[in-house]
This record gives sequence, C-alpha cells and structure tokens, in this order.
Amino acid sequence: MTTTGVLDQPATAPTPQDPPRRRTTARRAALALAPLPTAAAGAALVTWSYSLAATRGADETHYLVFWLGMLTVAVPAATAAGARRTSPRTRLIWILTYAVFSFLPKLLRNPSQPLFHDEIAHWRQSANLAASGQLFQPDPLIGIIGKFPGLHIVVATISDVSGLSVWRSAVVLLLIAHVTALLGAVALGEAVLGSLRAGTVVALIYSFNSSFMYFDTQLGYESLAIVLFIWCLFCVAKLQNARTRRGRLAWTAAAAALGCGVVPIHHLTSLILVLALAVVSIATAVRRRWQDAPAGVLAPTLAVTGLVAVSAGLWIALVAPDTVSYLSPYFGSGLSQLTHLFSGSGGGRTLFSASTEPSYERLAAFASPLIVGVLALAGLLVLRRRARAGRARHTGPSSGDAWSQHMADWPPTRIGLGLFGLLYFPSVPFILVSSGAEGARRSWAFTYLGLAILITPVVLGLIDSTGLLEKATWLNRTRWLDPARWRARAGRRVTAVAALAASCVLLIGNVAAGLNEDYRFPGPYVFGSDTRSITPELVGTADWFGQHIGTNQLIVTDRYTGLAFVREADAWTAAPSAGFPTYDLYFHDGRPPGSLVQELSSSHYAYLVIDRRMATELPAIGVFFEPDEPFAYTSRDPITVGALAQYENYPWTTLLYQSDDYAIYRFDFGAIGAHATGTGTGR
Amino acid sequence: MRDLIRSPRLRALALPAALVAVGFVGRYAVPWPVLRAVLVAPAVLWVPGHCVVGALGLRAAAGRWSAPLAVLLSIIVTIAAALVSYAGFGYVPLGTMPLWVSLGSLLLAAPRAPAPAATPRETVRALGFGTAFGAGALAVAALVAGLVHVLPSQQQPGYLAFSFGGDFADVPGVVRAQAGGMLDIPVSVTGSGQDLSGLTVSVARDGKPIANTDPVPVLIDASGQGYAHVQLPIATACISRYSFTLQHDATSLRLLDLYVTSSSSAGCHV
Repeated sequence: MTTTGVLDQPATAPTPQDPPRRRTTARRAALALAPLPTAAAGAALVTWSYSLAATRGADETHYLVFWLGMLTVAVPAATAAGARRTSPRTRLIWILTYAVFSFLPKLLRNPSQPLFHDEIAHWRQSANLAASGQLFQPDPLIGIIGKFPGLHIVVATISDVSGLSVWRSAVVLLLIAHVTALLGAVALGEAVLGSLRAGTVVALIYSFNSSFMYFDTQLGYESLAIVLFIWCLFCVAKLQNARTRRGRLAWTAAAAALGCGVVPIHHLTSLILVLALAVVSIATAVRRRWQDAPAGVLAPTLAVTGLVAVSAGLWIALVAPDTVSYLSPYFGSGLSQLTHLFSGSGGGRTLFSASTEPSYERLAAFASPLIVGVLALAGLLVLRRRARAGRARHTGPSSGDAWSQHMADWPPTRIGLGLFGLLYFPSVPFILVSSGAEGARRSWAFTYLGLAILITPVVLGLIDSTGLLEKATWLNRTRWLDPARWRARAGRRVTAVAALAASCVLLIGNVAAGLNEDYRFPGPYVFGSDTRSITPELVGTADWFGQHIGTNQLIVTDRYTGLAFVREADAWTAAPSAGFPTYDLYFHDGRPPGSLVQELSSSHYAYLVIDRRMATELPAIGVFFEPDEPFAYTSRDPITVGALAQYENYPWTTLLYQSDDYAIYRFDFGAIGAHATGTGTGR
Repeated sequence: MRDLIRSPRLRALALPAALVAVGFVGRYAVPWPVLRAVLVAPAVLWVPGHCVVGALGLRAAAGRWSAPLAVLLSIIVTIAAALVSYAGFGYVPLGTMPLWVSLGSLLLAAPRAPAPAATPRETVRALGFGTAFGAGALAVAALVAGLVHVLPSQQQPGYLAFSFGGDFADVPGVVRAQAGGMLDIPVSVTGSGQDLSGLTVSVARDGKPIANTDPVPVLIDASGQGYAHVQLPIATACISRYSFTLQHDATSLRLLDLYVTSSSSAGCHV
C-alpha cells in the first residue's frame, strides 16, 4: 500500500481510463445544490426521531430514524470527500453541509434555552457579563469558569451589540464555531497532507470523535477553544510549509495569536494545545537534527509553543490559580482508580450499564477503537517504512529530488500530530473507571485530530488500491470478467464501500460512547439526570422562587434541582464538599452539626429546597450533589424519607412552598434550639 | 483623485469600511434584533480579523481559508479588547466596544499581499450560487422549524403547588405576633393540568384543629390560579406551629408551616 501520489493527485485530474466528461452549467449547478435536498431529507428524519423519542418512551425506533437521518447526509459527504474525481467546490459544499447538519441534533435537543449542566453555568456567566460588563465574576455552578471569560465575552458581545437574547447569541456563536472547526480540520489536513481531498477526509474522521456532535456543540468553553486549537495547528503547518522568511513570520504571528487566544477561553484546551505543539516541536527538532526539515522552521515552531506555554502558565498562575486544584483530581483519581482496577482491587465501572442504547450502537462503540487501532497501526507501519526508505535514500548515493519529495510528504507536523493522535489509545482504558471516563472521552476531541492525520493516508491508500479484488484468485479464474479495468474499478468500489461502512461504525460508535440517551434525546423524566430532570413542575417551582423570593438568593439543594434554580431564578447553589458538607442536611436524620449551621448562617444561605424523590430513587448519573460526596455511585439510597421529612417539624425550617415533589424551606438559624409545642423537640 | 480611488489601499479598505458603517447603522438605528444582528455581524465577527489577516500579509497565502481565519482572529481581537478594557477601566462596554474596535482595525487594512481579484463574471457566479444555496439552506431551516411545530411533542405531567403569598412568601422564619391578635395569611395555589375547583385550606395549631375556624375556600383568579386568605387567631405560646393544609373534600393534598411566637421571654430561645 502506498500513499504518496494519492494525496498529491489533483482533485480533478483525469485518468487515462476515464474520458473527460462534459457537463452543462445547469447540471453542474444542480450537482452543487444536491446537498440541499439531501440535507432536507436528513433533517426531516432527525427531527422526526426527536418527536418519536419524546412521545414513545422506551421504544428504540427513534435511534433507527435518527441514524437514517444522519447517514443520509454523512454518507454522501464521505463519498464526496473520499472520491478521486470531485471538484474542490463540490467537496467543500458537502463538507460545509455536513458541518451545519451535524449541528442539528444538539440544536433540536434544546433550541430555546440551556439544558446541559455546563451550558447552564456558561449561560448564566454570559448573562451576568452582558448585564454588568464585569469580567471574572464567580459562577454558582462551576467556580473555575469565571476565570476563563473568553467565551462569555464573545457571547455577551453578540448579545449586547445585536439585541439578541444571550441564548440566541450563544447559538449563533456555537454554529459558527462548529462549522469553523470542521473547516479548520479540512484546512489542517490540506496543509499537512497536501491535498483538499485528504483534508476533507481528515475533517470527516475528526468529526467522528465522541464530542463533536453533542459535547462541543453545547455552550461550553471547549466548544470555542477547540476551534482555535485546530486553527493554531493549521497556522503551524502553514508556517512549516512557507518558503519565505516573511511568510513564516506571518504564519508564526497568526499561530501565536490563535494559540494565545485559547488561554483566556479554556484551561484544558490550552494545556492540550501546549502538549500538541510540544510534540510537533520535538518532531521538528528531530527532523532538523537529521537535516530533514528546512532551515528556519524550528525556531518559529518553538516560538509558538513557548508563547502559548508561557501565556497559559502566566494565566493559570496569576489569574486562575484554582485551575490546578480543579483539574488535578480528574487526572489523579482516574489514574488511581485505573491502577486499582488493573491490580484486581476493583473500582471499575460497567460500560453501558443501565444503558437504553440499542445493541448495534454498543457494538459500534466497542468496534470503534479497534477500527482506528488497526488503521493507526497501518499508519505507523507506513511511517516506519517511509522513514527507512527515506533514510536509505538520504544516505545513499542518489539523494536529492526523491528525498525532497519524501520530506514534502512527511512534514514534521504530520509526524508530530500523528504521534499526538496516538495518545488516544492510552486514554481508552480510563473509560473503565468512573473518575477517568469523562476526561478520557473529552480528550478524544483533541486526539482524534491527530489520529485523523495519521490514518487518512491509509484510508485513501485503501480506497485507491485495487488490492482486495486483485488478490481474489477466484476472480482471476472467471475469464468472462477478465478485464483488468473491471477488477480495478470493482476493487475500488469494494474498498470504498468498506471505508464508508467503517465510517458509519465510527460515527455511530463514538456518538454512543460520548453521551447517553438522556443527553441525546428528549423523553420522559429521569431522576438524577442533568437533562431529563427539568420538568414543568421544577420550572414552576423555580419561577415561584424567583418571583416571590427574588434573584441572587443562596440556596442549598441537590445538583438537579439547583440547575433549574440557577437557570430560572438566578439562584446561587451551595457547592458541597468535605469542608462544607451541605449534603449532610439530606443524608442525616437529626440536627446538623454546629459547624455546618455556623457556616450556613454566616454565609447567608437562607433556603433549603428538597426533591422528595431523593428518598426513593437513585440518581441516574450516580450522585445527588457532586462526585466526591459520601455514598456516590452507591447501589443503595442513603437518603431516608424521615431525613427529608424532618424539616416539617423544625421551627428553624419554615415550609413555604410544596408541590408534588418539591418543598422549599426558609432557614431561621436563630430558632435552631427552639421548641415548638406539639412537634416533639426542636432537636 | 482617480489614482486615489484606484489605489489598492483604498480598494482594500472599501468593503470593511462599508461593513463597519453598516454595523454602526444597525447598532444605533435598527430596533429589530435579528436584522440588527445580520447588519452588525460582519463588522464584529469578520472585519477586525480580516484587517489583521491583511496586515500580516496572509490574505493570499491563506487563500480560501482567509475568511474563517478572519472570523477567528476577530473573536480574539474582541476578547483581547475586552480584557484590556477591563484592566484599564474595570468595565467592558460590550454594546459598543466591538464596533469601535472594528473601526480602529481599519487602520490595519493595508493590502500588503492582496488576493488575486476575481473577474466580474466569477464574482457574479459566486454571488448567484451563494444566494441560491443560502435560500435553499433557509428553506431547509424553515422545513425543520415547521416539522418541530407540527410533529407531536412530549406530554408533560401536571402538578399542583401550594405556597404562601404576599409578604409571607418571603417570611424570614419564626414570626412574632401579638397574642390574641389575628394574622392575615395569603396563600396561593398554582397548577398545571389540574382542576383547582373545590379546594379548601384548613389550619391546625400544633397538630390540632383551631376552634371556630372553618376551611377557607380557594378562589380562582383571572389567570386560572387559586388564592385564599386565612385569618389566623394567635394563641399565647412560646412557639406554635400553624399547619396549612390544602384539601379537596377530606383529602389532604399539600402542606405549609408557619411558626409563630407570641412571647419574648428568654426561655423561648427565639
């Protein structure tokens, strides 16, 4: 299998077997507009699937209709991307259509207001900024996001300048970011691999990562930061391709601006960008040491890496020192749990436990790492073979043009990003432990870009090879099918169909591995789910609170009720921890410890909101409040009916509001030792 | 004059300057948010980055990617300007700052390496295709919006909520009142998908019915929500618990509590 030549072939290059085709202008226009009816059909199916999910409960039909809709656009887009003779315009129109279309599922999930946990936090932050013009305000749900205001600045700017609501402004920005991310992957692929065809295939493979469709389309800082991440790498690739010093300087400036632009937006993306740039820099340095890379490339690459690293370091040190304590538990706990798991001490999680996803999605999820593993291995073998051949040519007597061509095919960015993509594989085992699962999934949004760079040449090599049928000896015996041309074409078709099938598996599997049904589809109420816990009753309760008690009130409540109170009533929810164990108000029957009362009182927490189902149901995501709470991920409900009902008997908790499942109490800590006639003791 | 008009610098400035002007008009003269957004978007999300790309001399080198690059650089310019503004003045005027930044960025719009100009025919064709594709995309969006409206959606269960009303909704805890006096306690009943007729509110003190008080019927206002006023006779007690029960016939549906003290003696601990 060879990949050179495949990548560099002009997109419209005629082949001897194929006579030039004449197309009328009208036919060309019709072909160029073909994505529109396709997208309309796909969009109709996806919209229908959401209606089915909302109305038919446990039925799996909505999955089938959803994937029919998605593949209606994804398959033609992949075909246009991988086809040898497609005009650049057609490739770009299809990839653009796919980019916009792949935004639809998340848009349909919550078109009119924020729903995901992080989304509500960022929406609140943006709304506060739009209203006050003050940066670095604390956030009630995720404290750290106040220190990374980049996304909120842009959302609030669009809102304030245009007059659109904060949510609509966010949707506009997210759509732009989502489309620009995919175009960035095309641009990066083209810059690194040398053809638009390869670029569009890189973009498609990148889009199969588990964050692309739902996570990086939510209102979250990563959704914007990852776009700059991709385009920064594009600029680095371009600086390495630039032939003049002035060009290199210009691309260096652009890369540095984009890379440093990530820093005030998102901590994790900044750090991963530094890592990716470091790997590219090392690859460049090694190639330069071998005198493979052109002179003048290493210094600007190192400069970009250094600038981004210093910016990230300074920001974290001076503006957001909490970042370290915020991120370290994810790495530390995940690694610790994984060690325990492999040492046989347990601590693992069962993949797809209690999942409602259909079996084909689960199978695809398990198959996806295997498929990319095989392709990555092939990519590494090609890299190794090319490196050996290149070195032999380099050291041999006839080095020169061939070696230069080899260098053009294998720029340091290609090697560096390919190696960066290999980080996907060590992250896969973390999916088996609860503390590492989310981090692992989120890292794939980045490493898949490198993987796409690594495996795209392999995929294109396979599509363009006729190997599969050439090696089928039974075909050689069928003399009536003898013509080599038929075999070549059929071989390409077989491999193209296989590539399309593998693409579908990757798309379905990674989306399934990314988020569960509660996030992806509307449906009936699910206790302890970020996205299915918000009911009209909860919204009505939060509305009542906002209207009668007021906004900016400090409340103690569970994670899911708190989301609605933050969204609807601008409330500030207590962030429980070992040092501020507000969850003890729920877990323990009896008077809370004096230290907790003292802290609640001095911090002016005035309201307690209780969802009575906490005593009868376990939360779907395993925690009532936060991952470090006692009894997290337990199989037995630690909260009793008595523990929740006790507040009806205390003079220091006045029951102000009661609905089917929710109760709002007013704290009066001055009465905590008081005794009411007929209620036993004040405890 | 002709030379000035034909100068590459002025030609490079023309489009961004026009877009900035349109942005200002949109910001200050157009009251409708969607139209205003359409008018200001290029000025805010494209012009600054476009000028930076031009200043770096990357327009030709970036080729077809110069437009998305300009969008991203515009975003970075906006963020940087906001941070500088906040550092300098402790405040970010988000409603106006981006347009002034956009205006200022025109100074950078020097065409150091202008992109090859398209022929008029190519421009017309590209515009025609863009218009046709854009119209088609809008039609697809309209189809989706129509389907969302037409297709059946989730039926949400109803609920019934009972709460204090008026000032008592925000009661700070134990209420001090004069023994022998009366408290007028407003309560409200809200519901979705519920029949509020026939509801009553009864009160108990310390778990026992209060003598000579009948259940108060819940009235329904014009918005379909229920309300009632309960007259509460205050007894002499350190702290009494008054329980308000929302009932339908004899069935208790919801409960509220109010703790009232009519004594200020130190032994009451309130």
